[in-house]
Amino acid sequence: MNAVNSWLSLMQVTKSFMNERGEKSLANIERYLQMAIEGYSDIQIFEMNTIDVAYLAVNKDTNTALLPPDFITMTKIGVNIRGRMWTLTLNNDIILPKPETICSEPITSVVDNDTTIDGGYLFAPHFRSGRYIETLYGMGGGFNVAYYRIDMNTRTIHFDGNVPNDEIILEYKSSGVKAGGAMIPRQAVPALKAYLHWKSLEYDTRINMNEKVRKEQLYGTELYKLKLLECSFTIDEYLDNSYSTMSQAPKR
Amino acid sequence: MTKAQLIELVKRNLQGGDGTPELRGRYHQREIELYISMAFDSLLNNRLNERQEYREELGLNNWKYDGLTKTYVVPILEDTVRDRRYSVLPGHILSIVNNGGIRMICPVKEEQTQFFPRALTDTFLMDGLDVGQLTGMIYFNLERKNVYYSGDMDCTWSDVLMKLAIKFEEFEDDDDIDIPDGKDLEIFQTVVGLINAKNPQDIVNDSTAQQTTK
Repeated sequence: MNAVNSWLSLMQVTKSFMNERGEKSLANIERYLQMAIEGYSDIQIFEMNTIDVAYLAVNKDTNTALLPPDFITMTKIGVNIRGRMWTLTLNNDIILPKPETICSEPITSVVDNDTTIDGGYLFAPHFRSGRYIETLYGMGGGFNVAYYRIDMNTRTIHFDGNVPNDEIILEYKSSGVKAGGAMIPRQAVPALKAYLHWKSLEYDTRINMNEKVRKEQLYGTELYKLKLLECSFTIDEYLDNSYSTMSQAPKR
Repeated sequence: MTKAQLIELVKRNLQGGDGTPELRGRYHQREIELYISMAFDSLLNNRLNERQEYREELGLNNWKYDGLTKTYVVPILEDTVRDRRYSVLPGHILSIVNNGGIRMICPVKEEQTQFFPRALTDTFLMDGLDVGQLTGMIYFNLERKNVYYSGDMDCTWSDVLMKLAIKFEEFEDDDDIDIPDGKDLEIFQTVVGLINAKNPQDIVNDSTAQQTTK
């Protein structure tokens, strides 16, 4: 036997659940698959640390970019400046246009497709002669190369300012299920199966309350196990964190 | 036991004295065949209902009736009016909940790629949900004797493999009939019971009204 895969498809998880249930008929498989999608989406959004990345093209005419279909919330939005992600700044004062009033005519201001930025900083942080050089010394925060505001109603990001190369990098929390399905990490499978066991009888009025509560508790137990793994860190991460506040000084 | 042997057994039993005198020699082989078929249907559904007391829709789990299953290679046809592909069932299937008489439909050489059963009303429901957007799924739904397909079906397939739990009368005379363990007597008694429930032929000349209707 080969090594057990660390990822399973939605169908594999659903089959495994049906196997535990002793159900061999395919009559309900579509119903269970839908539950599995909802369950995994729930686990993905609230319990797991996974982050997706999308490279979005910015429409130069409207200065907007469309959010990915599986976008829930974001962790970072930025641009690629000399190989490093430069995050943009939120500006909730950007006026969101009504969809029907978006003008299709090009905006008169010219956006250069390079990384030379007016204002904010003069160069990207970098290493020089082994020394890390940040942005200009003494420069305050709160301003940036470009600003953004997310309009969830139209699932659009609006920008103000210069977006280099007309492309932004979006790190975001995904719904977990993309076109074509989803791959479930093995550590999340017990929790997802427990969710299916619970949800498949939760709304059945013929099932007694004890059984329902027991299934919900089992789901909680599996979630706890998953969280323990998701929130754990390595010894190196711990040491890095500890040593980051330490410094050497001359002994008196 | 073959189908012919089972029918002969029931026939002999009825003729040999277990049946009432009115029954003897009056049942054609085809009639007994249909009664046995009804007995199988009844047995299957009784077992399923027992199971459903505990958990609905578990379906055909804990009872191996694959012995009643026959395999067919069935051509895929084109319904140009509805723009859908379909096949015609090659025989009558057992009347079981959730169209359970259709044990399996798959491409001829890919038995691991099973098609999923869908009730007629499920199409509207499921197509509007996330699961309806998943790719690689092939569904079938039954419309009387036609099996309609939907989903990501390969247009190059010209045939499908069907494994059907067919009715008793669909078997050939020399086909082995797999009666589930311990259920031989139940089938037999059900058949005799069904035959006995039929009113005996009225051969007494005591009613002019009945004579005129015959």
